[in-house]
Amino acid sequence: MVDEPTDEDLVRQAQQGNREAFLALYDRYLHRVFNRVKSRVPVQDAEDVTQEVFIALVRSLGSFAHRSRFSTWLYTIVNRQIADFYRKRARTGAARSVPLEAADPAPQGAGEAHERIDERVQIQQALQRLPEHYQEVILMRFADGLTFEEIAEQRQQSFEAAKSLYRRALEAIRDQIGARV
Amino acid sequence: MNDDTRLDDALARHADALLEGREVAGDTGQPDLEAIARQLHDVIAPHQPPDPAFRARLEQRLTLEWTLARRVQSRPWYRWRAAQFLAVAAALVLVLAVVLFALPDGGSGAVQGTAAGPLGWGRSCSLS
Repeated sequence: MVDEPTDEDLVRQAQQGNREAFLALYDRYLHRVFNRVKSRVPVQDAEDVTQEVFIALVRSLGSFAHRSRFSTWLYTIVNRQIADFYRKRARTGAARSVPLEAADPAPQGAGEAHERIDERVQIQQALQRLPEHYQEVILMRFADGLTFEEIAEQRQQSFEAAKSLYRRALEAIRDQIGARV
Repeated sequence: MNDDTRLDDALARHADALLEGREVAGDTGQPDLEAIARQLHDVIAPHQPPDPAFRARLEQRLTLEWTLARRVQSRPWYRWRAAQFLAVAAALVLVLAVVLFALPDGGSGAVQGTAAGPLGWGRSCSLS
């Protein structure tokens, strides 16, 4: 059985000019990056922001010094591009709230559906206001599909600590929603 | 095992079940936290992969970006020019600094002494 190359192996090869290695990284992360972006920007902008993330990755790959995990570094780029997206929107006067109706179209006039949309907008805004480490554990579990064991490994903490972080993140969202009701 | 640890485990199992598409309710004893987890799952969880047309467009664009990025990196003259420019700038700053420090009184042109010899501080003050 041939071992799959690690992210770090692929990055090193890509830094030496191997385009196939870069494309392998792109394949490995496109879905996760897209999910993360989609959960934090309006769905109609998710493709543009995802594209900006990967362009930024190509341009700055040479500067990655392997001092952190590649995924950590990549998610820093994701966060920066999402922040840029909202900065540009603020400059053009567009609202910061995320129109989830676009993500999940509901039949017009259906009261229950609108209520559900309100709840989802509320939960997404609460997520965006969470401290970084709370957002991270939720996105790792739901957007990246990592198990709690994998989250613990990535965050270099114990399995128990990863689960506890997740519980505290949920409680923080509950407190936020409760505080606003 | 304390209550928090028990709740940590139950919520972790709940998240696993959500992601596996299993119906879960009431296991944690915290229906409000379960509801939040369900909503997060609905908002975030990967329902569908990126559109294949988008994927193809993005790959094309990245191939172009890759070529451009490699071209810039593989131009040694480009780096050499930048290094030359920096060296000349640094040399100019150095020469300027040496000239300024070499001039008496930092180049202000003040008289330091007379034909009779250098003036002491007290004498120079009394003369002025």
